[in-house]
Amino acid sequence: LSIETIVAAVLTFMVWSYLLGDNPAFRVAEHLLVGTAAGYAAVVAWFNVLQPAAERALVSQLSPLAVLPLILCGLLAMRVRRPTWLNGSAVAVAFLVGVGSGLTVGGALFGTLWSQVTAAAALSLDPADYGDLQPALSSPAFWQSLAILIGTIGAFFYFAFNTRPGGRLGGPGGAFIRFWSGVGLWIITMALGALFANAAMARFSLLIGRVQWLLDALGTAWPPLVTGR
Amino acid sequence: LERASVASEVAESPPSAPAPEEMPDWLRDLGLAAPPTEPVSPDATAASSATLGPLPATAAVPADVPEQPEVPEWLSRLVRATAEEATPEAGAPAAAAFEPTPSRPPADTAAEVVGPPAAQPPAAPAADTFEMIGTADLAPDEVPDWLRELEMIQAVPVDSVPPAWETPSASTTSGDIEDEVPPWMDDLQPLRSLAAGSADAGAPPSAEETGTESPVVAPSSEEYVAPEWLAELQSLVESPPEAAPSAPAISTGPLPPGETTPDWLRDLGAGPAGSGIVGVSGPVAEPGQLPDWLTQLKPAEVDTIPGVERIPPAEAASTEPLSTEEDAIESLRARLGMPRLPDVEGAALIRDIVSEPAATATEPPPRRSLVNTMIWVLIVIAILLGIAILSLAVLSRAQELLGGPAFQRFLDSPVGAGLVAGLEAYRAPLATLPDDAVVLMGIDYSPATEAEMRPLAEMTLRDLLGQRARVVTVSLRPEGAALAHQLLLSQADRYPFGERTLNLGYLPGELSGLRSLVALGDLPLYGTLPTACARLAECPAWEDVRTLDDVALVVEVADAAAPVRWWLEQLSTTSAAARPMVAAVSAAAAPEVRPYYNPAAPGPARLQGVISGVTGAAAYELSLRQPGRAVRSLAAQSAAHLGLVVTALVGTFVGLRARAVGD
Repeated sequence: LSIETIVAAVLTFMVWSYLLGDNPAFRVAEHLLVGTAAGYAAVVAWFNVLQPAAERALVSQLSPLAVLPLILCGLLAMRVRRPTWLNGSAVAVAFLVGVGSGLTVGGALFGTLWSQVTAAAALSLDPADYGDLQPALSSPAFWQSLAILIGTIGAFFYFAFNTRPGGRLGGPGGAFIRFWSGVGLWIITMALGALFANAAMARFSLLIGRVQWLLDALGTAWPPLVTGR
Repeated sequence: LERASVASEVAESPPSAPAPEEMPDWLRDLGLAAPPTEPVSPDATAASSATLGPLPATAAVPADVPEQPEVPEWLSRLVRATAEEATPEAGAPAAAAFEPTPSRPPADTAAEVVGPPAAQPPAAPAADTFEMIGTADLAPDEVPDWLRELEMIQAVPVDSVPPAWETPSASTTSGDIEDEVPPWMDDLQPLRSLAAGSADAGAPPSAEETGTESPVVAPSSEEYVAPEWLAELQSLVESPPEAAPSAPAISTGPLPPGETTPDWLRDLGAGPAGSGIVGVSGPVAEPGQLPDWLTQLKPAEVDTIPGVERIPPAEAASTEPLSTEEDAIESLRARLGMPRLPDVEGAALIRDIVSEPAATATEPPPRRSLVNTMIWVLIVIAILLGIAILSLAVLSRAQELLGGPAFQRFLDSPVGAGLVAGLEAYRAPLATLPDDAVVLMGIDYSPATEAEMRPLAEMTLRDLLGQRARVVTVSLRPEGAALAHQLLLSQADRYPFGERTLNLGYLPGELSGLRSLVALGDLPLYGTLPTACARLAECPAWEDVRTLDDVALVVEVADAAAPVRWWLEQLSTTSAAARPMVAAVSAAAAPEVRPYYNPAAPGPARLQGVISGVTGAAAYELSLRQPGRAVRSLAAQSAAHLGLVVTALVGTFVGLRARAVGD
């Protein structure tokens, strides 16, 4: 039973003491977690990111292009204290915003939107794609494709708030939209229910894992506690 | 007050004696004008006083007054009849009554006019006059309003008619009076009647009031009191509306026995009763200084506003000590004459808030001492340990029912076919990897979720290393670098760190950090390596790895959906878009990652395999026949599942029942 295990066990109990209400033990553990996380992130950022980049830019690969990130870092630091006649931090911020926006928009368009549209369009309900009608009806893939198609259409119609068809077919058109909107509502409800249930089970898994670790640690120190013999 | 002011002004000015030639033509045509030299008997004066009352000072029509031919015929007949009916002694005075007689000294008049009260009203001549007027000859439309009023006055006892001296001006018509009198003065009508009955002796009209210095002898008490209607009639006949107003003067003279000066007259600046001079030259009350009796008689206008409550004077004048701020505000409002406004929306709430006593500063709870805190912590630890020990027996039994064996039976059943199919899809790209293939493995979870994610990552790493693949870990989170290092070191006994495993550590910038993977061989390494290499391509057995194209498979282990999406989106726009990708995610992130899962049609931004949660890790362990932490936690996981299901069912039942009861 190492000192690390003891400290970890004590900290675990300190966090669980919040079940009895806010108390100094919980706050100590909370502050320790935040402090160590911030310190660890700073250390990792320096030794894993900044120091290698500085060495590469100033020593091994001395070039104007390699120095550019350092210049941008210096300009970004001007946000803290800068001369009144210079607003160099705007350049660094503009660079960050521009790169971030470009990557986000490009990735969302070609990585999510386009891929999802093509995947939905590739769904097939043709029994020939599954061999025949009987194999298609017995294939989970067929029913899965059908469920995906219905769910996608329903979810789209659920968000068609401002659609009010007119003309001769306005009545049937409105009924059509209301029907699919109701289907979409049920689909969205089930999706949110699945999200909630999975999140709850994930948190239970974390609790179970921690208790299991405690039992393992205590079993190492006192085997009869775990084995019962 | 205005009346008093005008009276004082007029009284101070010498009365004018209109010349006979100032008599209007129409009046002269009527024969009312008598020679001024003609003697006037006291009886005639009395008759004229009883009939037409004292003439005002402005009875003399100015010379420039235009002729008024529109005098109606009935009025002419009235005057004529009056003159004829009068006695021979009174006939001339009756006509002379319309003519000013400036020969009489005002002092004598003042002394003689103050007559007895109107206890003996000379109502008979007036009644006769009205009878002579007779409206029978006139059509109903032709009867003027003032005549109707006169008829009504005739029907009323004289005692109830206010004396003529109370009119603001003798030359003012009744219609003008009504226009000028404010509405609140209408309520004073009973008072005026009362004053006419009780205090008429205090301020009877006199020749001095009217500004007329009549040479007639002082009339008797019976002759003095003239009804108002008669004065109005006289003023209507003799003075047009634009004539200069005359003010009644307050006579000075001895008060009759038993009579005293009324309070209102004393408040107007008059001297004490019997002083002789009342109001003629005394101080005039300021307009803003209303006497008490008048102020009390003034109706409260706010009382007429619906919902407005006036604070009674008694309450306003209360001198009792004020208990609360609200009482102080009410008292101040009463003193200032502010009405008590009705409660409106929000006013009650604001009043309640304001009237609430100031909250006293709450004392902080006593701080627990360190000893007490430690005692509490020990108690908690003891309770938890007790629960853990007592549950061991249950867990050992539950392990048999809900643990690995039961889960294996579940996987073998048709119900678990979906989970098995997902696991097979996840493992398919791994199983087809060639030897020494480079696998890029993202470790994007935190220590908080390690209990759930570590089995997934560990089984995936074992499987990859078992396929003789080379694994490079990278993390988009700072703490992920250490977790990845621990993960690699956990397999170091069979696969030494640096030979088939490397850790690139933390990639800052999230999306942009993923783009830096294009130059994969140039990235620095994390951790201490047995060989002296700072970058991936410099390490032995890794010299062939230069770019992202050298990667055969991408495996993402994340506790959230966002890192998985970042990987998919950024890799889909690079040359490694065609590389297969699988993901092992937390159960909470699985629903958001599933849309990218499409094993049937692999391509850019597609996941060929997804496993999630403890159940996925347990299935992986059982599939590799390496039971580990996931399988051990299955019993507790299943028990938690059952507990959640029961809780959900009970909650649903209670909710439906509560709704039914509510309905």
